[in-house]
Amino acid sequence: MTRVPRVELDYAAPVRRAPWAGLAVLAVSLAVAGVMLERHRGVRSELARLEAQSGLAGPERREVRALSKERLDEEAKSAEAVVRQLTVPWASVVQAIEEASMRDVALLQLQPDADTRSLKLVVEARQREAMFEYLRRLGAARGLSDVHIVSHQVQRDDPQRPIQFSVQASMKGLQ
Amino acid sequence: MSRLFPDRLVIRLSPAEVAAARFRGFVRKRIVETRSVACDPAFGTEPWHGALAAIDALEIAQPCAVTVILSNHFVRYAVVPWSDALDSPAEEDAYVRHHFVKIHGERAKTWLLRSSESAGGAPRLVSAVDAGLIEALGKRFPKGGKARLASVQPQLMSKFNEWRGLVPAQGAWLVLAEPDRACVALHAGGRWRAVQNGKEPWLELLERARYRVHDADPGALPDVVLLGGAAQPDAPGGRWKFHVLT
Repeated sequence: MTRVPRVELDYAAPVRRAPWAGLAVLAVSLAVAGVMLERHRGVRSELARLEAQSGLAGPERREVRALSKERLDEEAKSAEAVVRQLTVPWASVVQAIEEASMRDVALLQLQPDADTRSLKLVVEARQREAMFEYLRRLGAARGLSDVHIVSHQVQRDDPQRPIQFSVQASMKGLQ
Repeated sequence: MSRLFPDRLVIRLSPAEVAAARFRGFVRKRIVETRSVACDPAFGTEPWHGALAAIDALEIAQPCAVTVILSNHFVRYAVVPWSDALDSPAEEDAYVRHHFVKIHGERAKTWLLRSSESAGGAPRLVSAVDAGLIEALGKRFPKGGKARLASVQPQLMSKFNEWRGLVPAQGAWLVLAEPDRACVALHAGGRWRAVQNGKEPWLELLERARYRVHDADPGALPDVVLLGGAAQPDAPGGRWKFHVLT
């Protein structure tokens, strides 16, 4: 017995067309989905292989070795030092130095010590009076305290005989 | 009743009676309500006026998708030779309308036509219904209303689609008997061969259709008859193999 086609003489419903176009789209969609699934599987297995090779995943993954207590303390101190270094109030330090600057004095070196919250400066002054004035201005700068000369020396090689001196100050008032 | 799958209300429209059956369920449909209303075939100027007026008596209270099945009293049929040279819906409509005008005269110009698809070059089964009837049904079941008009089918379409699985390879006659009306159609060789819709008794119409087809195209004709709306005759004469269907 052969299946004869339907009769469509409907006056209200839209005419039913053979669903070939829809079936073709469905077939193509399924084929594409199959290819994508196969590719997905391939990529996953390749990824798993690469991870296994590099030891990033899988049962062969290497264990992290336990660190000794001394090594841990050392690393913790190192990390703290870095943190302290990062917390030096550079903006305030620079502002204080700039406030104290004057025409006859040149700053040669600036060395903050985050551990002791101190600041070491190497400065060169044209005359002795300029050196004292600079020390006074540093002492008056905001945030700096305990300003004192650590050493000083007249540069005899220079015909103008400038004075090079080191100053130490405390940064404890700086934010 | 599901809002997603509303009930289906099947209304059979005939000159003397309007019968309705409400179906519920998505996969397995079951009848949950039936009603029928008698109507006056002489009401109005058209044979369908009485039936249309009787629809209101059905009192449709619940939302539903309505399928109207038109009695063969309200439909004309023809098997129209087809041509692949017809390449637009307008050309097809003009061709089919010309065919109906030749048979029924000028009044066929206002009928609404539908032609069923067929294999390339094969004749098509075509139906014609008064445009006023389809328009009136559209107004009776407006879009957005509680009862939505989903389908309007000639009875031949409805029954053939229901029974087509029973058509054997060599084809079959389809006979739909109604009070004062019978419709006889022949589907054989994978195509429509003939259709007759008249007031004669169904067996008489069947015999006449057989002779006409045989005269036009001598050869073996099917003897299987799918019969609806009538009982098997007591003395069929041995020519036919009847399958009485409901």
